[in-house]
Order: sequence, then structure tokens, then C-alpha cells
Amino acid sequence: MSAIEASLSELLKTPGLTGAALVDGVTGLTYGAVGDAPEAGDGAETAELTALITDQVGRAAADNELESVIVTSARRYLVVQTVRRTGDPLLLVAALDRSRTNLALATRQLTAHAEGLAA
Amino acid sequence: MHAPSSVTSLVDVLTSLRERVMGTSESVLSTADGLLVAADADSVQPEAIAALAAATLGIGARMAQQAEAGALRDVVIRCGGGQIVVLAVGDRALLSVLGDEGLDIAALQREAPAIVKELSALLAGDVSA
Amino acid sequence: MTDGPRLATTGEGTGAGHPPETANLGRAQIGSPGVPGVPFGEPDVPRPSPDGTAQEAPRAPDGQEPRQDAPARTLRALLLGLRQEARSGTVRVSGTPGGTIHLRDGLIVAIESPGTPSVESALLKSGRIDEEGWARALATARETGAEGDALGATLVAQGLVGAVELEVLCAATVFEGAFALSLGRTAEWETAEPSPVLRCGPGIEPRAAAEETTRRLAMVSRLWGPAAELARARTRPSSQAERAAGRLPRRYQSLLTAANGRRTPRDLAFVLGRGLFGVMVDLIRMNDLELLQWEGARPAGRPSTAPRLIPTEQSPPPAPSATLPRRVPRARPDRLGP
Repeated sequence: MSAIEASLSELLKTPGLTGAALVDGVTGLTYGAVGDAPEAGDGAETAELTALITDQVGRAAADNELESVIVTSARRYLVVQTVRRTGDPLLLVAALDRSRTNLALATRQLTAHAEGLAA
Repeated sequence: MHAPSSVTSLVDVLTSLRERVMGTSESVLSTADGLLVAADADSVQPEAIAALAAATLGIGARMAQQAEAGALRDVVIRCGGGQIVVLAVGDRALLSVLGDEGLDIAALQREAPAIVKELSALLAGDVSA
Repeated sequence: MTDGPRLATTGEGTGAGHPPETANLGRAQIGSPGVPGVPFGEPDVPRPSPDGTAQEAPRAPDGQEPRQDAPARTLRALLLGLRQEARSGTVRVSGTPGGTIHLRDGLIVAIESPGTPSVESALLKSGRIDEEGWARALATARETGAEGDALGATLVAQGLVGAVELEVLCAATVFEGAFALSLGRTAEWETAEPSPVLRCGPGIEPRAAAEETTRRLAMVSRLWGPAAELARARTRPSSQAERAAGRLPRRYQSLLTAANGRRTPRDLAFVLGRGLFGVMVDLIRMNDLELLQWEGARPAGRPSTAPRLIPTEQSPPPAPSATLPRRVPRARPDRLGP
């Protein structure tokens, strides 16, 4: 198993997490996906959405770097967590079943996981 | 009838290098004894490059002679962050091509005869001046 | 395809219908001059063979036996064929730009090209690893005999880069290399034994590289114009860019700093240690934000439809005619539903 898949598989332990992917924040390329991958959306669209948000509202933040985006729908959360690193940003994308997940806990775990990737 | 070699035209040829050879950042045309003739430069000191080019090609030629390897064609200096290629333009001038680490050396070697010819033709105006 | 006399097969050849597990390519030259201008990602077009008989299109990897005697007519067909046979080796492509494609078991583990920075270049230029660290890792790798394919593992073992990060970078660079190759004219190719290259991860399916390349070309074409033209365009900051400085994402700032009117997107990629397509995507977005001006005629493209998002301190808000709606992203919220 590749290091990317091994790393993403850790996330499947998060309660309610149905699918996760590691996506390039600039090009939209999906580097790896685990679980129910289509749940985590289309990588290219996610990257474009995130870039749009960065461009439009990023300047409101202190240093202009978007951290995360959470899209809430009736049954699911889609969490897009930016992985900050020296190179181009990566996006850690996770789909969570609302009925089975604790969003605060899940986002903390995703943030921690993202920081681990950037180390 | 001749026209004196126009510095603008030499710079045009040097500038065209950036189009013709991928990875070219700057280029310097200099005399065999280290003087600057023309440059398409951005960050380097053209006079310093001109002086070094003569020394570089000189040492390269002596190495080629020692190794009995035939006539020197060019000297390629490869660094972590870029490359420099020095080659002769006729008998009396040198061309230094500075590029990044992705400089397409194969393309430069393909284009070199045409570039040398264009530069030589422009410089030929000097001789008959 | 024919194997050269120096071919060494590892693994068992178990008879007809079972291609060797990790067969090397040998030194046979199998590339007839390729079709000029056919990008990496375009579908194959069958052509009649020299003797006039029509040749079938390259077969899909569905288990059919590869034709041993038919030379590949396009780079894409070559790579699909080599994937079928799980070959390991090196495909040297000549062209403008040319490049070197590294295969292990038919998967693409690296592509090197003057058109986009290598993994080594990206690590060093982006500042992720410093020169001394790199030199130490290289020395260690050589001592342990691990140069080449295991250099990546050495970098990770020495803590110079994370395993996931390196795998991401290696994968990204394969796709960037495929894209860079597709922008130029590939003249011909030849195959050779495997040669050492920095790699990490299992490698990329040639089909995936081709499909992604097609997607990228289409995306640039849709948002800007012909990708080959954008690749040659030279840009510098616009006057608005200076006013916006300090309120932009870091990577836009670094692009603005590097864009000096002499550098093409490819040159900027090398300066910053980023991939060519990534730089192009950012430049397109920055152009929509009116942060850039272009040397010479701007390549034919759509007029900007972006509203002015960067506030100017002096002038009043732009007239309504300038604030056309921004292109809407294609995210479909209903896909998240039940």
C-alpha cells in the first residue's frame, strides 16, 4: 500500500467518516482516496471551489491563507482541510455522515492529520 | 557596401535565444579577450560574464588539447540551480548562455549553428569597418 | 516488441500468454518517428502500415495478447503496450521539449523534461530541502548502494521529507511531465534499460496520465486559450497588483515577485520549484483578478469576466459594466445528498 493510502486509511477510524481523499489544491489532482471515494467529491471541483473561496474571501483573514471549508447538507458534511506545506497546498477532503459523526471532534482529527502530513 | 553591426540586432538575436531554447534566462556575447559586446541580461553582470567566458573557453580548449579530444565545441557548467554553456562564435567572439537547471542543452546544440551564423554575419560588419 | 540481445528478464516466464513479471526493455529501438504534434493525451489514430495493409488500433488493456511485431505509432500507444507487458525501462523522447519516461512494471514512476522541474529540482528550489541535506542524502544512498530507485526512501529515512509528501511530489511530477511533453512536438523515441531516478510510490498508470493530460489541456483551452501559447507567454505584475500586495495568498505573491516580463510560466515554475500546470492555473486565476499584464499581444482568449475583487485605494468603485458575473464553479451540492 502506498504511503498516501496508508495515511488516509487512518482517517477511516474517525466515527462517521465515509470517504476521504488527498487532493492537490492547485491542480485538482486526486493523489489518493479511501472509503467511499465519490462521497469525497470530485477533486478538481473541490480544488476549484476552494480556490474561488480563497480568492474571494481570503483577504479577510490575517495572513490570507484559507484553513478549511465545511459544506453542510441534509445528511452529510464535506470538510476540506488545507494541508499547509512548503509546496503547493494539499487538500484533505473528508465526507462525514451527520447522523454518526461529531463534527467538532472530526475536524480536530482532520486538522491534526493535516498537520502531521505537513511535518 | 556594409552597415556597421547594429547593437540592437545583436541583442535581437540574443533575445531570440529565449524563444528558441527552452530554459534560457540570459545570454552574453563577448570577445575572445573578455570584453562585452552585447547582452540580453536580467540579473547577471554582463561584463563579469564576458571576462569569465574567455577564461572558461580558454581552459576548456587546453583541457581538450591535453586529452587529445579534438577541437573544443562548448563548455557546459552544471550547477544545482542552473547551467551555463559557453561556445565560440567564429574566431573572435564567445557566446555564454545562462539557464536554469532545465535548460534544454540538446535544443541549444541543435540551434547553435544557426545562432552562430546569425551572430557572425552581424559581427562581420565590424571587420570591414 | 522485439527484445535486444542484452535483455534480462527477472521473474519466471511461464509460457505462452504470460508476459514476464518485470521484463526490461533492452536496447531495441522501436520508435519510428512519432506523429509530430500529437500530445501525450490524445487518442490514437490508426494509420496504414508501410506495406499498405490497414493496422488495427492499439488494443485496450483487457488481456489481449500484445502484437509482438507491431511498432507503436504514438507515444501513448507505446506506453499502453509497455504497461500491458509490465516492462521496466527508460523511454527517451526527443522533441521540443523532449523528455525521459521511467517505467517500472509498466507504470510511470518519473518523467524528466526541460519543460517542468524534476522532483529534485522542486525539493531544492522550493526550499523544502537544502543543498547540504540533499548532498548528504545522496552520499548515504550511494554508500548503501541505494542510489536511484531507493534514493526516495533514503530522503524519508533521513527525515528530509515526509513519505506522503514525497509520494505526492513524485506523482505530481509525473503528471506535470506528461503535460509538458504534450505541449511540444515529440519527434521520436527510443527505449533503454532502466536508469536510476528518484521515485517514490507505486507509479502512475499511463492511461491515467493520458486522461489527466487531456483534462488539463481542455481546462486551459477553456479558461484561456491554447495551452502551448500560454506556455510561451511572458507576464509581469499589473499596476493593481502592487496595490493588492500583502492581501494575496502567499503563492500568488511569490509568482508576482518572480514574474519579471522575461519569464514564461515554465520559467516561473523552475524559479519557484513548482509544476508547470500548477503555475499556469494560478496565472490564469491571477489574470482573472487583474493582477497581471502580458508582454506583447496577450494570447487569444476570453475577455476577463472577473469583477474587480482587489479594492483600489484611490479610484471609486468601477462602473457596473465592469462587474460581470464570475464564472461559476461546477461544484454540485446535490451530490452530497442522499
